[in-house]
Amino acid sequence: MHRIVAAWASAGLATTLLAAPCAQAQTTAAPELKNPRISIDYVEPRRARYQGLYERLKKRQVLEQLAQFLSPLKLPLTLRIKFEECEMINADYSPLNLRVRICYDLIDFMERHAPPENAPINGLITRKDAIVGTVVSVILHEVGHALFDLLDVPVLGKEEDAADQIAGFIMLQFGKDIARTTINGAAFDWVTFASASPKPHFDDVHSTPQQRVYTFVCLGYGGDPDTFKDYVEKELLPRERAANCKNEYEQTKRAFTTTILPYIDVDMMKQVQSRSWDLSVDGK
Amino acid sequence: MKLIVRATVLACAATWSVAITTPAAAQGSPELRNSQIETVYVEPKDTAFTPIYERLRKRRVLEQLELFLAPLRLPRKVQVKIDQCGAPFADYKPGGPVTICYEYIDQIEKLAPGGPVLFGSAWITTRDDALVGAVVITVLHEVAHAVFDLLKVPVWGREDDAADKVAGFIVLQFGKEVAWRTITGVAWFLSQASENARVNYADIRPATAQRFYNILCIAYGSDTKTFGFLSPSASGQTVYLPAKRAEDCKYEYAQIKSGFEKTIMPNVDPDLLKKVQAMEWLK
Repeated sequence: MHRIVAAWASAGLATTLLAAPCAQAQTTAAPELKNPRISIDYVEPRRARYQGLYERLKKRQVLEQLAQFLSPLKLPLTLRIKFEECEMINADYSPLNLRVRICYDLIDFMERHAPPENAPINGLITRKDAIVGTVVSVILHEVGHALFDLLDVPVLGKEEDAADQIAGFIMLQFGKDIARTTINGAAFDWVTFASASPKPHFDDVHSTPQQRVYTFVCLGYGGDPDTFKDYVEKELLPRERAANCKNEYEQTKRAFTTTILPYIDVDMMKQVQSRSWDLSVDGK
Repeated sequence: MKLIVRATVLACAATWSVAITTPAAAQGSPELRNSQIETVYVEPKDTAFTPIYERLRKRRVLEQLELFLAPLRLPRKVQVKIDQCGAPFADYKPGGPVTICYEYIDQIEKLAPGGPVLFGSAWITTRDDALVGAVVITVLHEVAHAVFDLLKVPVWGREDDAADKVAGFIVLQFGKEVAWRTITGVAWFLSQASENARVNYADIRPATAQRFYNILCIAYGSDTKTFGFLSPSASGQTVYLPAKRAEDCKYEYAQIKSGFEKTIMPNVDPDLLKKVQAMEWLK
């Protein structure tokens, strides 16, 4: 199993992590898509077990692509984004150090828990969704925290929910395929954690993993009911919640438009959106 | 026992929601009223709620809300009503009205303690405060939904959490006594309501237990001295706020304060606010 995962990851994970652009589009548009306020780093892991993952991520220039993806952002300070071994399954944002950290441990955990190639969960969530979508949603969640901090965004609800919302909203702005893969992945991520620790912690700053599943799926259904209607048909998103998802999506859109969009270079954003971002396993 | 409880409830009715002692203020100066807020007590069809309806009317709870919200500049009128909903909540829809349900107030009454709740030798909350605190937060929570809508406030996070945090933040701006009585009162209600409550994880609303921690956390974050009994070191076995949550409560309070100042405060008349803050509430 591990060998299969490694081979799969070697073939495509890094290519697909965060929206690798198609080769043709990349050659014409890539030079303009830079953000001088984002610095990236692949920290070499101490443990040999993450060495392969580290090499793949680095070779496939995952963070370079992330930096391109985030090029329209006008940041007042430099944000560091790094992959690192953390000795815990985690990702975080440090306001003290102005850095986002994604742990190899987390990606490794998701690789190990992702469903087999031909056995999508509930007939919905594929292996590709589980790994690629999880990583994209986790990175964007942490970048969301960074934006709230760096741009001094007013957050009236819980910041952790807000970071899920900003990640989910961004994931829905790049067409149906990317929306499907990433929302599916986020749902898988939180279903997995819900299974791993079934006792809910209501005192936590985070919503429970179960609640976070619905946050992502509801945003997806609210933003694009057609693409996510099977979640309602299969009763994975209860109709009672589904009825309000359009409002939830609109609430998030309004918050994004009011508080984040003023810090986005609209011309560059159009370039980023018009690219043919590819989340396929083999990068073709 | 039943009679005693009923007598207590009747006695408590006198203190329901933001009662003002200052005679002039009680009469209400013409400027101290929010003309954009229209309030209605809808007579409940179910006679079981009639005593609540009558007490709320007698105590002029909604009239006091109009006074309390005098500094808030709203672009158009919104109705705030107390009504029988057939459920504890009636979801706010854009444009209003704001509805506070007799069913929810009935729950608050039923879960209020029979007398003072002690923490060691000191009291934490009383029956009166459990009623007043929960009603005040409920009303401000529901009004917050309308404020988000009418002022087009950007809301990140669950809107119900935002409404709770705004309500909690507001009651913390009226001195230590108001802060203590409302926060400990609503905390009692949420604590009781969350016991054995079935949690619907798919619900748009947070679990009641989550509301309890959210409100206590911003209270503790606002004033770790006044609310020091909530800290993990002071609360001992009770553990009102676990250490992991408590350590970030100052940040959580600063965040809602900053969010409130950026999004709602520009629509608050500062002179009228000072007048409202100078009044004696909950006496």
